[in-house]
Amino acid sequence: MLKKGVLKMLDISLIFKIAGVGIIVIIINKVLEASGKADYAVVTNLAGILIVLMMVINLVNKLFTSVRTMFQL
Amino acid sequence: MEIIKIVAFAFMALFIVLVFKGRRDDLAVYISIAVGIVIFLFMITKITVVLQFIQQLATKANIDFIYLTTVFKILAIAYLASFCSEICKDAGQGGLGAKVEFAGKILILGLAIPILMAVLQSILKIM
Repeated sequence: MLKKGVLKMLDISLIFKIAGVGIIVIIINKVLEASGKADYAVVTNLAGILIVLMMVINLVNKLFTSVRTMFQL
Repeated sequence: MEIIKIVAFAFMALFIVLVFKGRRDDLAVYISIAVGIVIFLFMITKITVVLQFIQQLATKANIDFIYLTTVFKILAIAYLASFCSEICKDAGQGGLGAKVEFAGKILILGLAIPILMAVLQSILKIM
């Protein structure tokens, strides 16, 4: 079920969280590639994408449950 | 004034997406998905009021409840299909979005068949 507080406010903090994770991953990627550790860079890349994907998947799940409750499916 | 909130939110999200565009396009797509869902979750309370109004109207007019749930199902399918296809187009996969739209159209057609049959039967009763 949905929490009430989620519906009342636009949740900008989640967007900032995703953006922060993305920027940090980009920086780590650049540093690792500059120092010649390309294989570590790939692993970091993958980890960052997974972290962001987990957040987005939670949000998609929330969207589906809310649509289901709203239209009484 | 909710519209100011939404416009400000969308602009902030747009700037964040523009930072990521060109450097990491996949992360830009994730952010646009999250923004779309958050705006929809914000608007749900408003849509719920409209839906409750439609339900009250239907109970007053003695319309069969099956038809109303069918209409709501069609609305949900249309919303989800258009949301998914637009995200696919944003990510540069327009073909995938077109397929999702096609599937949504077929499902809506399948749900609309009982209503169509009811209309035809009422026409036959009149004649």
